[in-house]
Amino acid sequence: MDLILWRHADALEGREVEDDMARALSHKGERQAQRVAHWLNHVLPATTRILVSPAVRAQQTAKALDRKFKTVPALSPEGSVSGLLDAARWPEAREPVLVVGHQPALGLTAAYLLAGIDVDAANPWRIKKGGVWWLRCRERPDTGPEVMLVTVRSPDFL
Amino acid sequence: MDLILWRHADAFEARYGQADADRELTPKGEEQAAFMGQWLDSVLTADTRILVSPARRTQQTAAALGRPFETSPAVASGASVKSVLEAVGWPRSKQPVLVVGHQPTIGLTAARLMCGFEQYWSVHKAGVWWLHGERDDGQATLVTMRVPGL
Repeated sequence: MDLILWRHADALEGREVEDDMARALSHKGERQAQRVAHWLNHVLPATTRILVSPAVRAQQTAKALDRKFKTVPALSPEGSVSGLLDAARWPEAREPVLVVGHQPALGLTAAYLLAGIDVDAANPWRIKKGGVWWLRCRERPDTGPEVMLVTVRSPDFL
Repeated sequence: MDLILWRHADAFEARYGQADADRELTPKGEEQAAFMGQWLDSVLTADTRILVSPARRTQQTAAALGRPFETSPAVASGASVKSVLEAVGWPRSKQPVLVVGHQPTIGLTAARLMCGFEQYWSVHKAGVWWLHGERDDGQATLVTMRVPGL
């Protein structure tokens, strides 16, 4: 299956908004989300299931796609790798799954799936704001399932 | 520093008696190299140092970028991760370095820089892995990764 991890775009800082869940995208973040969504809409199959964190910045990022999505509490900013993988039904889902969420869970998930390592939660693999990591699990007849990276993009590298 | 690893594009199998190093790009490989070369030329800074394996298929891939380059046995087919990292001056080079090389060295090098240890990672033909790191601590960032046609 294909699992596409998309980190929310640039949001207003905590100083400006008290409730972390209510932080909205900055103007820069809105532009980032639009640019990345434009690319994703070209490359994501129509059957892609889209799962989004309830945080406002993730919801706003996902809305730039203009597709239907489902809000999943397990993808909240404090969400875990296992919560993310359960929600995505990795690796059995038949359709591609796009997850719109947060660090560190996205970077931890990428490290766990690609390298099989549990990295320190304080040092997850870095995923830029608005960045996309596209992973694929495929069955190899000789060695069993293999996870590979399809592409990594960011608003600066589309 | 920025280290950009570019695997050679699709090449013909060796003909009977032909050395591996003499294998040439297929027409599909030429297209892949041209597609990625055009993108790389639009994003690489002018001061980027370019090191290319002596093999024919890497030389042909690098030529698609249309910039002068150095041929370096240190990044040849079968090169060790250590050999590549010494050749590029990781992590202290002031200039970005582009390496045009081979599997499994590219995947092993990316794993070494991102995880701190070597692991076999699959890398698409003509695929580009762009890494950034300031220290030699196994925590390099994968800035972007692209393959032809996507």
